[in-house]
Amino acid sequence: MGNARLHLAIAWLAIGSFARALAAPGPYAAVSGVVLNDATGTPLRRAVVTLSTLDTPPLEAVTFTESNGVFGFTAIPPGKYRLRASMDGFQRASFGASTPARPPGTLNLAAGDGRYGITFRLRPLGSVSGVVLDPDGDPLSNVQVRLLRAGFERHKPTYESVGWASTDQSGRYCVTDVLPGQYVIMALPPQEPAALIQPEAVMDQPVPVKMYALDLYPGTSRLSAAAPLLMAPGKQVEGIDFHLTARAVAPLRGKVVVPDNAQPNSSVQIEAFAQDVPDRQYQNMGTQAIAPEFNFEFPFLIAGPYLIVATFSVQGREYRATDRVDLPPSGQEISLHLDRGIDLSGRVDIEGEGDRPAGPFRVTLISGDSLPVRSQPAAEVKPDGTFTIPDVFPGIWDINVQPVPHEGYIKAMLLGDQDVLNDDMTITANTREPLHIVLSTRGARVAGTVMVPQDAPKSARARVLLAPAGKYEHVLSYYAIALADDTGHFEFKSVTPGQYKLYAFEELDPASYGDPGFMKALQKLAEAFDVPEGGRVTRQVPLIQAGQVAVENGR
Amino acid sequence: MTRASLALWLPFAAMAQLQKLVPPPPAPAALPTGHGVIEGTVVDAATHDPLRKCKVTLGGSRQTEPTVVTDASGRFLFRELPAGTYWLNGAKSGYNQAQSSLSADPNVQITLGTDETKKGVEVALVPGGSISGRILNEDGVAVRNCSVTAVQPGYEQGNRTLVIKAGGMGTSDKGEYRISDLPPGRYYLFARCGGELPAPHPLLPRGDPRTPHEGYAPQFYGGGLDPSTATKLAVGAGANLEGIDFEVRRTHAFTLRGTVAGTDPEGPSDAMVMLQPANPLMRNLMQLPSSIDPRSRAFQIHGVMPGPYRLIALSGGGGAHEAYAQRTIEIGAAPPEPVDLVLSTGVELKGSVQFDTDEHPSPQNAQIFLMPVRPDHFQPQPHAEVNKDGTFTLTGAMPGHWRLTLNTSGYVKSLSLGGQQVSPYDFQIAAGATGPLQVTVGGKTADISIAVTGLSAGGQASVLVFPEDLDRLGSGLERMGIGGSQVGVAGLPPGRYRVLATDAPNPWILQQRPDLLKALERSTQPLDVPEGGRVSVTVELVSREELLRLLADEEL
Repeated sequence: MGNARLHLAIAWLAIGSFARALAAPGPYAAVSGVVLNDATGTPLRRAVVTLSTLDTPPLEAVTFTESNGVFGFTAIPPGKYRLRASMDGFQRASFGASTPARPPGTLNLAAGDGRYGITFRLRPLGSVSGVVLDPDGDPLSNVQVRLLRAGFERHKPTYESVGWASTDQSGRYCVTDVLPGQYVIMALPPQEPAALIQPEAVMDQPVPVKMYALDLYPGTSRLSAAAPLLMAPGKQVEGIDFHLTARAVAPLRGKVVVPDNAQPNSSVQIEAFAQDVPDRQYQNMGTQAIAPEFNFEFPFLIAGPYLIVATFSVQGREYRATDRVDLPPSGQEISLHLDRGIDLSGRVDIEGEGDRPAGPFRVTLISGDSLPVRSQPAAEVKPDGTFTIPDVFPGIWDINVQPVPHEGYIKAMLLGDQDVLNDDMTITANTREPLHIVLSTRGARVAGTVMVPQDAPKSARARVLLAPAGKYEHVLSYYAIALADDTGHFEFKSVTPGQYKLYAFEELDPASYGDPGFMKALQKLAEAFDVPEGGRVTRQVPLIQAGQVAVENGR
Repeated sequence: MTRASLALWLPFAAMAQLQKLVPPPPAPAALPTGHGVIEGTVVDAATHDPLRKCKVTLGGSRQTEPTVVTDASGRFLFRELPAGTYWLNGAKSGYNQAQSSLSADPNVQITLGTDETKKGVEVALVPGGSISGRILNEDGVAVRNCSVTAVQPGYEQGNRTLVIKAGGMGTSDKGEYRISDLPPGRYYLFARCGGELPAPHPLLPRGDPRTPHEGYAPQFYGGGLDPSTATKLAVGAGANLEGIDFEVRRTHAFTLRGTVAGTDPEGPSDAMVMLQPANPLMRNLMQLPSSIDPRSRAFQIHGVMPGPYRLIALSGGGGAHEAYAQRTIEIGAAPPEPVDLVLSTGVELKGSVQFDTDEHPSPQNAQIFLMPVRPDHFQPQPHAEVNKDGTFTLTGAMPGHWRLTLNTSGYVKSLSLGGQQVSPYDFQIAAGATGPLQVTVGGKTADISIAVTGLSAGGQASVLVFPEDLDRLGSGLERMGIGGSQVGVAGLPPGRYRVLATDAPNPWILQQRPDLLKALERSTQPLDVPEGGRVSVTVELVSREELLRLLADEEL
């Protein structure tokens, strides 16, 4: 630590001389400081420091730190700026935010201003490494090791891959640039038959094919038994090893029943999605069913739950079949029946006076159940306001309509008389009802100020969360986050009328409002208030300081 | 596959199937059975240590060849085998990587009698070598995400270039790289560090193309971008070269901007641009593609470092409206000016096909192909279908040197363009050229009977026939036959040729390598083919060992 103090002292001296050089007042401002390694306190050489304005797009100036970690910007026009530092292998940092969960600060530079001594402490990023061995104890190459972070998708717990690496010839892997956090580590072997020691073969007696099974550290295929790894900042974790198992294949065979007008040389694309893979990015195998028989086979699956999806086009129309299969070790035969998507008709109306967008309007459907589609079903709205979206397959769909009127909001979406704005829209093969979308120009504004306790350090900067309260608190599209400025002022526009709560955080991970446990813990911290259509609501919001909220495990 | 390379590769792809000397397929009737046994071990050819976890395939008797994986003693055993001829092929990661080259080890052949037991068979696999080291920049700091590749001079479509043989994984965060599975040989190493890095600059709008950037200059081991001054590393079987470190230096990295205008008034929609080094040897090693914004027709190529380049624009993807443009560009120390390219669809040449004999096939549906003499993967290669009356129209012929071939029985006997006689193997199309292209097809081809001497009893040889003028390789004049001591080759156009007989594996490689054929000249037999008729020639077998000895100084 003594060494670090010395470095810092030298850095300060350097900044001091820098400051003296800029002492003469003029029409410009100057900024300088130092970038340090947060773990060791030593200066970082050639860190990238960026000064940017708040415009869109921003103007940016870039400089590097010297060997003593010092950087400086001169001849800066007066104005408001952000400042950030970054370097390979380190977590980037912004001026005014001691953690990335805090909003970045703003530098207000007037003519002749000199801001010196800005210190950045960059946290080194960690790494996870180990070796992957096959059942014989030999290293296995081309295995993809993924770090999975827990999160939520449509209020359901899920995992997402945030880093990965492949094993090399010696079976070793190393995932670098790992942020602190908690991770489940998964080894995904290549989709090819396992080569295991078997020195004898008898002619005409083929050896049963085995495939490697995916593995979760420390050696299980079930999420409930996986041991998540807690990564401290900058830690280089080694020895996260995997000993893969191989299982006999369970053949999945079948036939696809195609429509009568199928072309002679056509083929159906079929994919098998393993359902027990925790990563949202499915691992899938694909095959084809070719005319005229349209038989197919997946010879390399192992027993377990799968979602089988077949897609096909005939004369410009799209067809799809899905089937959930719990494949037993002895294999299975299935039959897939292709269904045509329905044509979803509807209309778009605009209510309210004020500016209407020029159009044309476009309605797009996005899959809400992550089933694969060749393209997003969409349609342009005709001048009379009607539209027809062709080829919509059964399933859950989220509706996107563009453009929304300036400061307006989506007032209603009805499938027949069913509210599909606040609830999921489920399309079946029998859906006939039209989709009615109503846009309104009368969006509300919610503005206010963040109230900072007297003893709180620094300024009132905060991330403000606008959350629906009452019966629509499950509708994710009503949540919004805004950044309060230096005076604590914030504003939300285009707000859908309803009941809301406001929370202001010193630190907020933007993904956290998807976690039901997080929202539940906040319940008592704010009162609900009404936002009428087109209203202008002003509120004072107390600042929730870091560490104030204890979150129950929402999973 | 890149444009037009498919047409030339097809014959060679077919040849590739001959890499195992294939005996006639078994009769489709009831499968023979037996109680024969083949047992042995797989060893490392250099150290003679047994190889564990090696996959051994037994070929010869069945469509689905039985395979085993050896244990720690390298042992393998195949039982219940009917009598017949078999061959064993061993595969293990890090070994035997020269499988599809002239220096591949021939598979171990075994002739098994009825219920015979053969023990002690040894399969030796040549270990691959490895090269490893670190990449540091001029400050001594490790550079991550650099790709290091092992390259060798080779040929692509008859032109000398550098071919990537192995490597390509990015360096770790400690700057470390490792290239494994290298067949023994001599290699250049090429390090290319990714993309553009930030460089200091005053306030500029984010995304402005004038924003300066830095990058690490790509280089060979031994320094520089010139392969003739780069260091060649010799990798022996199983050798591990360590400490092969690079020092990379920072240099300017610019954004090359420009527009591409099409001849189609609606503008090219699938157009793309590609920036390649001007040196054709380097083209496989450094390519920077970019898409073109369909509305503004603008493109931006990032991370361009100083040096000489060629910028190519193309659109049409092989369809009727193929268009192409190219420009040489020198990038210096200052940000480059924008480049505006105009796509051209080339000239249209009308022509006709006539035959020199009365008896000839109908010209209808025959296809005329134009192939560039100095191949460019991206240049459209015109082709046309011939009408019943022998006329055709070739569109999209770019200025340059071309070769004309016809896929009909017979050969291109003579060619004239705009009234001038030209060589069908190399003629020039100028920018404003007009036709007509007059093609005369010669119908009289000869049949050659080749006697191979020096072959062991029951042995097989591959016989290669190729034009004596090696510039004509790739025009359809090459032939390859396989057989015992007598091999026949049919339909050869008149001219001067050379004949080579060898039992080396993968001999088809030689027909793509004018440099290797030149080195083997003295072991080939000259052959003068008249117009039509039958010719006999005798040629001495060049064994695999002899072939490799003669080619010892070449890169294989």
